[in-house]
Parts: sequence; C-alpha cells; structure tokens
Amino acid sequence: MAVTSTRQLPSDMSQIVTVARYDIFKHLRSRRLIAVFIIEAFILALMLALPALLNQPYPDDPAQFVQSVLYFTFTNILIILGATMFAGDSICSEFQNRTGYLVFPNPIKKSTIYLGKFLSTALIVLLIVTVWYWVAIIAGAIVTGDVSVLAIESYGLAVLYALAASSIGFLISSILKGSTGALVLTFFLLFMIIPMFDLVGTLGGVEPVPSITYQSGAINAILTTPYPQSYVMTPNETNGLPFNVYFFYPSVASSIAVMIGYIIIANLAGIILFKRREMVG
Amino acid sequence: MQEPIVLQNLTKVYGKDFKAVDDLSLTIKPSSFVGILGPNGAGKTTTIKMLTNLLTITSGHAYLNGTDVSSNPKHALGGVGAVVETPEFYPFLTPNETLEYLGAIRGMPKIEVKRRSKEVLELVQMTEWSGVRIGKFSKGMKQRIALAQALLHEPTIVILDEPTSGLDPRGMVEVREVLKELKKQRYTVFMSSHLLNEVQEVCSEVALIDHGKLLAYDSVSSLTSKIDTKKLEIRIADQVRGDAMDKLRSFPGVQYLNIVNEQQFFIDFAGDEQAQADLLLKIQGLGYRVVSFKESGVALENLYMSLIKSSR
Repeated sequence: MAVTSTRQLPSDMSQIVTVARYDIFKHLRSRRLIAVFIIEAFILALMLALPALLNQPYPDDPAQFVQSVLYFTFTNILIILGATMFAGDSICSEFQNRTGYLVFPNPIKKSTIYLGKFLSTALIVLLIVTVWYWVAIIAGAIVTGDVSVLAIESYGLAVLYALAASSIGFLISSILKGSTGALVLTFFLLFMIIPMFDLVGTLGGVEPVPSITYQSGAINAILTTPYPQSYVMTPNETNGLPFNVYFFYPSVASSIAVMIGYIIIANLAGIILFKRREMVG
Repeated sequence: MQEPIVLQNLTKVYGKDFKAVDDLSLTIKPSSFVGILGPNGAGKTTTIKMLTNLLTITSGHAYLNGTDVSSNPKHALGGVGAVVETPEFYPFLTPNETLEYLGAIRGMPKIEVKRRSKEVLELVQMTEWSGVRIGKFSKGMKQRIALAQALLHEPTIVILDEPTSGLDPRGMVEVREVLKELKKQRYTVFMSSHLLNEVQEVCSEVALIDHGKLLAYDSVSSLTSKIDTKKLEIRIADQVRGDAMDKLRSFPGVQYLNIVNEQQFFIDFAGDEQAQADLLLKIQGLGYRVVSFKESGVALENLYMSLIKSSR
C-alpha cells in the first residue's frame, strides 16, 4: 500500500455539520433525550387532560389555551432541563472522558468542534421546545378553532431562551473540568441562582434587565392581553404595605436583545476558553 | 523532499519554571520509524501532545509536513494519524461508525471510508467487532481501534504515544505486529515508548530524552554499536560456588557478576563474540553444567541507563 499525501480538507462549515450530525446521533442513542421526551409527553398529557378530568371548561381564546396547557413554570423547567442535559457537559466531557484524545488530533479547529456541538444541542432543544409548543398550539386550534399568533411569538421567544440557556451551558462546560459539576451548575444557575438575584433586584426596585431568567418572563407575558406593564405598589392605608413593591415585566424587544446577547457573548467566551484549554493528564 | 517532522527548540513550561520539554530540536526523515525513548516524566508524551496540538507550545516550533502546528493546526494535522495516550471512544458508536465520523472530518469520500475501514480493521484484527458498540470493548480492543483510525486516511505521518501501554502480553505482541507492518509500508512513524525492547524491535532510529532534553538521536544500529557491554544471563544445573565465581570475576571482559540464586547469575561482559564463546567454555571448565547462556535484556539498555545517569 502506498502512503498517500495530504488530501483536500473539508471546509470548516462542512466539518461543523459533520460534528453536529454525529452529536445528534449520540443524543438519539442516549437515554437523556428519551427521558426528556417522556417527561414532556407526561406533562402535556396531564395538562391537556386536566380540565376534562376536573370538569372545567377549556379556555375559548387560543392564546389562553396555550398558556393554560404549557404553564410557564413547566416551560421554564423544560428549557433549563434541555440546556442542562444537552449543553452542560458537552465540552468538558471530551476532556473528562478522554474522547478529546481521539478527536482533537484531527485536522479540525476546536472552534469548529464547539460550533458543531452547539448546532447539535440547538437542534435538540429546538425539537424539544417545538414539540412542547406545537402540541399545545395544535390542540388549541382543535378546541378553539383558531391558531394564536401570540402563542407562535411565545414559541419564538422560548426558542431564543433555550438557545441562550444552552449557550450558558456551553460556557460552563468550557470552564469546568467535570461533567457532574457542569451539569449541576448549569441547572442551578438557571433555576435558582440567577432568579435569586432577580428577586433581590426586584425587591430593591432595580429591574434586572441583564438577567436571562428575568428576560425569559416575556415568554409568558406575551400570551397575556394586554401585555403587562411594570408597576410599583406604594404603601398606603388600604394595602398596609411597609415598603414599595415592584412588579417588573420585560419587554419583548429587551428580551430578544438580551437573549441574543447571551447567545453571542457566552459562545464567544466558550470558544476562546475551549481553544485555550489543554489536554492534560 | 520536505522533512515530515521538524522540532525546533521546542519547549513546554508548566507553571512558572517547570520545563517538561526543554529546547528540543529534532528532524525526522521521510519513511523513518523513530522511537522517542525516555523514563517516565522525560517529556515524551508532552512532546507528542504539542505535536498533535493537544498542548500549546511555550516556545519553539513544531512542523508537520512543513506546516507550523501552532499557527495552522488544521493543515498541519491533515496528513497525520495519531494515537495519543489511550484514547476513549464514544461508547454508543461502533468501530465502523467511529471510522465514518473521523473519515468525514478528514474529508474522505464515503466509498473510500468504507474501503479503508475494511482494510484497517482487518489490519488490527477487529473485523468481527466492526458493528458492535465500542462501549463494550476492552482496553486492548480500543487500542487496536485507535490504531485503525490513525491509519484510516493513509496519512504520511503516524504519531503514536506508547501504543502498547496497558495491554496484556498478547495485546502487546499483536500491536507490535501492526507496527512492523507500518514499517514495511514506509509510513513516517514517530512513536514514544519507555519499553527498550519494543523500540529496538520496531524502530529504525531512536531519540533518547530525559528531563525534556535530547540526549542522543541516531539509528538503532549505530547506537547499539556504541555499546560494548552486554548483560549475560547464565543458568546452571549445579549449585553456584563462591571460589568458582571469584575465578569468573577475574576472567577478561567480566565487569560485574551478580548471583541471583543458587543456579543463576548475571555477568556484565565486554567483548566480541569470540570472547563470549571463550567465557562459556570457561564456565564449563569450572565444572558447571550450563543449562542456558544468553544475552539478557536489550542492547539499548546499557546505553540508555548510562545516558540517563549522566544527564541527572
């Protein structure tokens, strides 16, 4: 056999697609994706059947129908769960599981590997959110006879939030050494830690504009007509409040801007950190 | 012709001042099979990791087929197949799927990947496992798949980091057979090892390093010809006697005699084959019935030990 010279290498874009394709293949064969879909199917079935089981009428308005079925807390948890499971250990597992020794010495840039993996995660979380929303939207259309534009806009915001949350998962995965730590930190950062800062800010009368979890509130707010406006309740004789109580609602524009900001900044930082990271030990 | 591997003043510093590789310069000629030999912590793996872009280079340069690994790793690694440490595989993929993945990354057409996968899996004797998920494989099987993926795209350079490390004796023999096959096929191979016999058996040239510094670089035959002392292992059917051993110690060429047990001893002997034959006669002349009389270890060992000692 002759030893050949170097062949024409594929473009970075083509390699991104290759990495994404095999990463999706990995997710399809893993139990994680099945677990998420089982949880999703269970909650959807429960929320769709609940009014009938309780002899309650379904909402007449398609937007309200989607809101009642998806229930914001569940949407939020599902997106955080998706970002955690499919982004949280995406990068660090290559180091911890030593699969980096197989992939990194190949003619492929680390940024390409990163973007391929992110594309795979983006498509997976998109699939999760799409199933979640479109089951509710289609069920709403069947029950109310109408498709809600607001629900579709909410779906768009939920997709953006899922991508932003996944970007944070990738950034954490590029920093931390262990998969478990990265998964736990991603989940609690999005589910508890950032919302706690939101709460503290709100109590102090400061709108937590840069917060990703605060901005995710637009996903639910957009389903309410009219769109809720921020307000403050001041103490008076009738309400008996000891101090001002603030209620903040992110605007759709700020939500989109902040989410896109997170996607860009977190991924840029993640790529830089991943490129600098060495395969030691 | 362009030299396939060139290291120029390659240095890797960890922390403030720990030099894992210190100003290492080396030029590997095309189609040579070079072993990089050194004790644990000598800097072998660090050198290989810098060559394969797994570690950043602190200073100096590493060129693969004329391309700087630091400035253009994608192009530099285009003609390289590498097995670094014992890589882990994605457990949910089969060997065929893994090779398809890596082949696609390297820009191989599907039909070529299929043909080459068959060839390389046959070479490493893993054909019957080609459709089984790698998660179930032993370390030895994974190592063979690692070799297969390194050869899949018919690279001009093969870089191997202790390819027999962690394998059982049978696995080591099998991997060495693959390495000998590579030698026949005229790949340029750069292989690290701390196993002297392995290097002597498969490599045509050896680079000896310690503390990240190059101690010697030459062909195996040239290096071993510099060694005038060999270790002889003698087993006898009778009991070792002190007076006879004293006589042996004074025999010309005997530099050191070490009694292992009542029927076995080692001699460090300097002399040609004629002198070695005379030594055997001398031992028999002392009344011993010789069961075996053979060179122990490998010729590189003494050179290796003396160079390592003098570098410390």
